[in-house]
Amino acid sequence: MLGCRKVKREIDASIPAPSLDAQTRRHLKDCADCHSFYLERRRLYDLLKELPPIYAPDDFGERLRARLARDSSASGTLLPIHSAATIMFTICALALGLALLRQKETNSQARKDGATVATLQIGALPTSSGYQIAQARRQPRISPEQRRRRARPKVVATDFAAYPASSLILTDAPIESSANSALLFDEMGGVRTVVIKPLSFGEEAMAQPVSANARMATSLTPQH
Amino acid sequence: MGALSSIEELLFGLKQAFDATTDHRLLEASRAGDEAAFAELVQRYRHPITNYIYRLTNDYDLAVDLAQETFLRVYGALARYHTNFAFSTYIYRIATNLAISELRRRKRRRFISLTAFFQPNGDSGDGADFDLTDDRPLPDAKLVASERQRAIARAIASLPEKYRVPLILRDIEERNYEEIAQILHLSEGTVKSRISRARALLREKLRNYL
Repeated sequence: MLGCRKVKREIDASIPAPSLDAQTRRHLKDCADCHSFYLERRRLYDLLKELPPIYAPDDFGERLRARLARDSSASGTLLPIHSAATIMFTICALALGLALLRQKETNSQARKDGATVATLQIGALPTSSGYQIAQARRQPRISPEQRRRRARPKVVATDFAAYPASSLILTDAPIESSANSALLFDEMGGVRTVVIKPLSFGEEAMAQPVSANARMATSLTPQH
Repeated sequence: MGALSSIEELLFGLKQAFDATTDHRLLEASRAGDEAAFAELVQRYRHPITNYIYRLTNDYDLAVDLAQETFLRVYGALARYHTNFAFSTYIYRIATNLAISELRRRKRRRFISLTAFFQPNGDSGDGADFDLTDDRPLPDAKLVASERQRAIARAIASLPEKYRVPLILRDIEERNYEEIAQILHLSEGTVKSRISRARALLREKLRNYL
C-alpha cells in the first residue's frame, strides 16, 4: 500500500498526463483525501490551460532584422573605440612597468650601497626626494674630519709676497700691448716675477679675471 | 469561433513539436551564413518564446522586446553553440535568464502598492498581491472567462520567481522535467519539488475558481 505522501508526489509528477499507474489508481479509490487532491490538481491544470496562447507580432521578423542590422553597424563603429582603449591600456601598462622597473633598480642600487631605501612614488620623476636621497647615499661614506677638511676653502697663499705666483693668466689682451708691459719685462727682455694682490676678498669681480674690470682692479706689484 | 480557436491552438502545439535534429541542421546552416535558416529558426520559436516570457513577466511589450533580445543573443553566439543539448533547451535558457534579470531589475525599482497595506500577511510573492476574486455577477460568459484568465495570469505573476519559472515551463510550455532541469541548472528532484510547491500556492490563490 502506497503512502498518501508518495501518491501525491506521483500525481504532481504525472500532470499533465491524465494516466496514473495501477497502484496509484487503487490508492485513489480508497483514499478520499488523495482523490480530492488529484481532482484539484487536474482542475488547476485545466485552469492554466485556459490561458490563451500569446503570439509574437507580425512584424517580429522585420524588427529583429532591423535590430540585427543596427547591432552589427554599432559593433562596426565600436571596434575602433575598443582598439583605442586596448592601445591606451597597453601604453599605461608599459609606463607602469617601466616606472616599477626603475624604482626596483634604484632601490637595489641603494641597497647595494648600504643606504636606506627611500620608497619612490610610482610615476614620480627621478628628482623626488627619495631619488635624491638614494643618489646621495651612493657616495662613499666619509668621516666628519674629512668632510670638514673638504668644506674648508683651499687657501694656497694668503701672503702673496711670500708665495709669488709663477705665471700670470689674468689678461686676454696681448701682454706686449698692455700698458703695464714694462712691469712684466725688464730692459733686457727677461721676464719678471710678479704677484697679484687682490684688492679685497669676496668680491664678485674676483671671479671674473678676464674682464676689463678685473684687470683694472688688479694691481701688479713688481718684485725684484 | 470556438472551433477556429481550437485549430489555432492545435497549430500552435504542432509548431512547438519540432524536431531537434532539424533545429541543429538549421543552426549549422545559420553558422555558415545562411540567413534563411536563421529566419526559419525565428519563425519556429518566436511564438513560444514570446508566450513564455509573457507568462513570466505579464507584460506584452516587454515580452516581445525580450524575445527579440533572445534571438539576438542566439545569433551572436552561433559560433559558440554546442549541440550537447536540444536547441529548445538552449533558447529557453537564454529567455529565462533575460526575463529573470529584467524582473529583478524591475523589482529593485518597484513602487509600493497602496493596496498591499490593506491585505493580510500571506505568501510573499514577487509581484503585487491583488484580490483575485470578484463575486459580482457578470452579464456575459465571455467576460467571465476573460476575467478568470486575467486572475490566473495575475496569480501566476504573483508567485515567487523560483516557483513561477518551473511551473510555467511545465504546465504552460509543457516541457518535460529533464529539460526544465537543464534549462534552470537544477536537479530533477528540485524541479519537481518546486513545481509541487508552486501548484500548492496557486491553488490557494485560485481557490474560488477551482
